[in-house]
Amino acid sequence: MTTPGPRHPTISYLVHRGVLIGIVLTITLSTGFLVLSAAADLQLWVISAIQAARDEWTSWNWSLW
Amino acid sequence: MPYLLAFIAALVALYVLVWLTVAAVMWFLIPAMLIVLPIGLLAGVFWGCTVPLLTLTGLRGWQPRTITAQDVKQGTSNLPKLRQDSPFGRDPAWPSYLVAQSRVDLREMWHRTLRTLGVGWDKCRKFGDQRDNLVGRAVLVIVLCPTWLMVSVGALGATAMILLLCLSALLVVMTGWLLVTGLLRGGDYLVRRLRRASGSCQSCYYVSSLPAFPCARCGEMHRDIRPGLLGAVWRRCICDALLPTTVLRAAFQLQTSCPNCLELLRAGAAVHRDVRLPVFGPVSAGKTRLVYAGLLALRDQAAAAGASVDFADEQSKRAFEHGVEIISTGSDTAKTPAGQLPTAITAQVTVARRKALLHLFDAAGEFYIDRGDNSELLFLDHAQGLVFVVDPFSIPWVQDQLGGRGQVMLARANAAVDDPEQVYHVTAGRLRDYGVQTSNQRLAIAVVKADLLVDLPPAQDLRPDRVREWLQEAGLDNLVLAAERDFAEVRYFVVASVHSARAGSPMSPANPFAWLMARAGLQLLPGEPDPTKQTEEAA
Repeated sequence: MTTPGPRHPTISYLVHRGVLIGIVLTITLSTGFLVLSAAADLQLWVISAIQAARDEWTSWNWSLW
Repeated sequence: MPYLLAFIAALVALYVLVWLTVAAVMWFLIPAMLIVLPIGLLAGVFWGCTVPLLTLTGLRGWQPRTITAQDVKQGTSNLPKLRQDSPFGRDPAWPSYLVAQSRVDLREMWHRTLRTLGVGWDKCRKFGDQRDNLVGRAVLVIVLCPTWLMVSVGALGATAMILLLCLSALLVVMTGWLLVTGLLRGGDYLVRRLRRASGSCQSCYYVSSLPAFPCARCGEMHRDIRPGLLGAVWRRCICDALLPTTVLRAAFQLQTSCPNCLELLRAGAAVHRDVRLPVFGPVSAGKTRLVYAGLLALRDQAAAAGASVDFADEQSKRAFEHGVEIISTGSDTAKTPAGQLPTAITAQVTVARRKALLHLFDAAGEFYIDRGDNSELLFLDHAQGLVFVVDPFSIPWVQDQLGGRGQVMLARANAAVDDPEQVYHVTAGRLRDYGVQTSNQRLAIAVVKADLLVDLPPAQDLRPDRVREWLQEAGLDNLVLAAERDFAEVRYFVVASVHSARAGSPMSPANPFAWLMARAGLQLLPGEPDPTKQTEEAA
């Protein structure tokens, strides 16, 4: 008869998962840092794009005659 | 006229509607989408990073299924199938993270991300179903779907990137793990191969290079302890006990069991060289006495040469002590029980730093008389050499030579009744039937009871260097011919199974064993005793 034994992850599992968590955290923090660094440029790009759209609309000739 | 006015009014209304729509798109929708879509993408990226984190940490109850030792035992662990169909399956131990759990974790990260995004798409679909009108559809198609699409793209992209990097890291770790596993496994195999180590069961006679190891804590049997999927350097048993992986290390820390009958093997089994020597011959030929006297002489011979012969297990120790008492006091040897399979007497032989296990098998003579009785003598199949015991007093030519003193001497010698030639042929036939290549094996033919025979007329020409000729003269020429035809090498000995036959002497009972041991790669002494040379020196 087999003893059921513990079902919680072993230390080896936890260590390996710790490594993976480290990788995911690194990626997350790096992405966050990149986004924050580029936030000003991104904002500028969005504003420019919005302005371009509106300018385009303004430039259209809406006269019926 | 009214139609014309109505047409113009409709045209103006259409114009205003188009103007308002385009104005709304250009002034509000496009700017709004230019803000919302990148934010959606970023939110998706954030979500794609958060889901793997929550999965790995087990928060929100998102922990993946844990692959336990129980799964390994039940075959639900996703491990590759065993190459050979083993009736026992895999051992009850936790698998290495890299080969089972890592796949579950990575798969769970991806599936969890898909599931959470799927929830969002379901909500979009429900929104469309609930507001089945133009505005509802417009909101769904123009706002919700593009936004959630960006979230999905961001999340899947981020998760895919994370999985790729995690997989790369795991591959790097796995390369190191494979290297360690391969080195340990290869080293373990190589050392045991060089030592010609194997584990032979003293009870069921099964020989295996890979014994089973019961866990010291729970007793669960580990049938393949070698480094592998269940651990490179260590493995964790189902009971949480930490076990070493290589056979060499496990044999020193755990008990060793026979994989066939689960009987505990002798200490050092599968680690040291294993030499198995059965002794066979007719009933009352003197097999047991030869084994006792041989072991005693081997011990003395080894001690004189700075080597040692010890008995690690209690059973062998008791058998040896009993034998020593019989040989030392010169008392009669008790008849080996007929029909009872013998348990090997195991001696641990240490020469310099090399160790070996010597197993001597002594079955009752009844087993060798009838072909049908010896099928269970499996130790004959795995022997590195055999000792055939010939009782000279059972040879009719000797009995004739004894003349008037014959009956007295036969009674004193407790002479064997059965014909040695018949016993030899029955045993040799059995070996052939079981596929044993006797042409690769060695046979020591020992003419025993020399202490009783030596001063009698039939022994006039019986000298250690002329045993073969003496046997031919005594009418056993067919036996000699058959033995030399069947076996790769046959050596003849004349032996006195008494204490006075000192170790190293031409009639020492250790000689047949020492010769076979040397041929099996276990050189007890720098130069094994050669009866021929020693007789010449004595002369």
